[in-house]
Amino acid sequence: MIGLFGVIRDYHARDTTARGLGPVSLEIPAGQAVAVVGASGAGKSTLLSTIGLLDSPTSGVYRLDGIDVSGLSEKRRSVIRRDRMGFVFQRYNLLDELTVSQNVELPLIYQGCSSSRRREAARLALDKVGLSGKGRLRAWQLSGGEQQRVAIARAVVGKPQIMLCDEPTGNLDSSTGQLIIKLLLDIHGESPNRILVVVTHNVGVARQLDRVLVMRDGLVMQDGIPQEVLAQ
Amino acid sequence: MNPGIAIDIWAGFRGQLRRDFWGVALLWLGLSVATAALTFGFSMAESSYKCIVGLLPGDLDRLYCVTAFERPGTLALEAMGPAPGCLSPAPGDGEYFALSMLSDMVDRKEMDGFFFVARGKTVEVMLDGADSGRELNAELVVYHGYAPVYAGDTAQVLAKVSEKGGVAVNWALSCHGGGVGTDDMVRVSPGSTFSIMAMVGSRTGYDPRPRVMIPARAFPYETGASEVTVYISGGASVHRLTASLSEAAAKVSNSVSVQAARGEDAYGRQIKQARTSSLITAGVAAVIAAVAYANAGIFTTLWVSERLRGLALRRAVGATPGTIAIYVMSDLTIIALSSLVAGYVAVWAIWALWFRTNGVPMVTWIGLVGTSLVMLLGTVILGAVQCRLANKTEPALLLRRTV
Ligand SMILES: Nc1ncnc2c1ncn2[C@@H]1O[C@H](COP(=O)(O)OP(=O)(O)O)[C@@H](O)[C@H]1O
Ligand SMILES: [Mg+2]
Repeated sequence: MIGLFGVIRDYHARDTTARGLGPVSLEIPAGQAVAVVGASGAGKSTLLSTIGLLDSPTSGVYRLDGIDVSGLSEKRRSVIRRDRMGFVFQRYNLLDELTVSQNVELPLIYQGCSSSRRREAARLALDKVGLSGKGRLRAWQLSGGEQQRVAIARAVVGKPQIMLCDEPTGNLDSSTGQLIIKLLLDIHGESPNRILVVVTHNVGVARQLDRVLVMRDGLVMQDGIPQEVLAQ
Repeated sequence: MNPGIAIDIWAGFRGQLRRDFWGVALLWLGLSVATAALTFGFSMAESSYKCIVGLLPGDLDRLYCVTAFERPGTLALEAMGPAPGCLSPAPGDGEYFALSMLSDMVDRKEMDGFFFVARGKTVEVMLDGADSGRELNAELVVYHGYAPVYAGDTAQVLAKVSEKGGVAVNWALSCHGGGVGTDDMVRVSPGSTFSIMAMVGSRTGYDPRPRVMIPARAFPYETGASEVTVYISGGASVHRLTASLSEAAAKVSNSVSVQAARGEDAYGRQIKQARTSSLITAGVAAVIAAVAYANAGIFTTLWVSERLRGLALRRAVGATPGTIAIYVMSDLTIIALSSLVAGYVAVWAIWALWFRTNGVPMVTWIGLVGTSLVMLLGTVILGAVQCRLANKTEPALLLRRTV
């Protein structure tokens, strides 16, 4: 369960301060799939980074399963990311110097898994996203859709409690994008307690999730089930 | 460390090498140059220091440097040769102190012994190797009586050599003469051949000038010197000695004046000189190294900033700050170690191909170890700065910045 209470993220530059997010208060119960929509610059990525502990709020409280994580050290935050978060970004996703399989194994390295367990888990994850047998290729040898599937495999390989996807279909054509979304939803359906948060511009995508947040200027303007929110 | 991390580090390093080969090559070159500069700088500083210490004969309070000056315009002669003690070319050309006269004084016990550099003679020596000789530019040191010349027990060694009528040579001569040693022959041009009976001086190359120590009794020419190093007998007065040497010199020229300086004073001047020059050498090496490190600092900043994307992504999937530090330090260590090796290879090549034949002292352990320590320190400092760069910013901002 995610709980944000009056969370604000300000960006300081020289003598001006720009508000990137907030104040935002919301709760996401376990198992929910949430779409975040809004124009560019609305604060969607900032919200996602805050939830994923990739960024710290300037003020406000963030509770993860009831525990305040807003003031943790970077070390403790990295451990939470490692054990409980999975990320899929729009770009800058994979490391070119590694093979597909090594990319997927990366989170498991930091969890201290043995190499045989890592390889097995990566193989299963790649099977799940339909990339069996491509583990030995380099990331750049794959198409955009395939790369994003590798990224999804990497995000789920550690069995995270929370999956965070920032415009995962943003660089893909619509049919490939639809496949990616279907994959994410399938994976989400497999583990009933996993939270899925997807940032998207695509109303069709948002319609398929449990809940939609509409953001503007760093604030959550609307929050509800897709049918109601998207009707307006 | 987790072996998976090691593999990932190596993969990341290779990836960076492929992306930015010339940046890495420049960084590497800069550090290799710094290694070589520091090694030579430290080694030379150590050598010139040890050269002084190693050449200081014992009994300094009985050691005097007696110099004959022609009175008009003699000052310019002060600025002579760099060799320690009175082994340097003497001021003044005249042979004021004749060899036979000096030897007589030792025999009459007016002093314990003397030595001087024979000038005006050909001091080239022919080393009789297997078939042909090899010409070497060596200093010819003539001695009689108690003559330590070098620190330690050289006085006894030289006394033995004198009894048997051979010569002694120093290690520099052996080194420059293709390893010539005891029982080999030395020919003093023109004509006289001597057997080498002993090696004297410091073996480790701190004394780069080849020298042949030849007993006055065996020296085939009547010669003299304008500067001579003497050991006065215990209890004897240096004034009386100076007086008799003055008298002798006056026979050669009536405008000559004789001065005796305590060994310590004479050496003291040269210690100061050598200290300054070793400071300058070390300073120049330090400047080269500092420039190389500034260069390395810029390039490692670039390096880490180019690796930031990968590091940020690794942070996002759960690498702790400690793990990131291992990545950064490993990169730097690979670069530092390889440039250390390359620098040492360059040092070896320069020394083997050029310095050895030019009488420059060899590379010392302190030079090598000191350089390694400086490189280690530099790596740690640079690494600490780069770790901060990679760890202090929020991963979200790093990812945004490194698209
Ligand atoms: N590092 C930053 N420095 C200053 N302003 C930033 C920074 N990151 C984001 N912002 C600002 O915060 C706001 C929200 O950004 P973002 O969360 O990326 O929006 P979205 O993902 O919805 O397009 C934008 O106005 C953006 O300009
Ligand atoms: Mg965004």
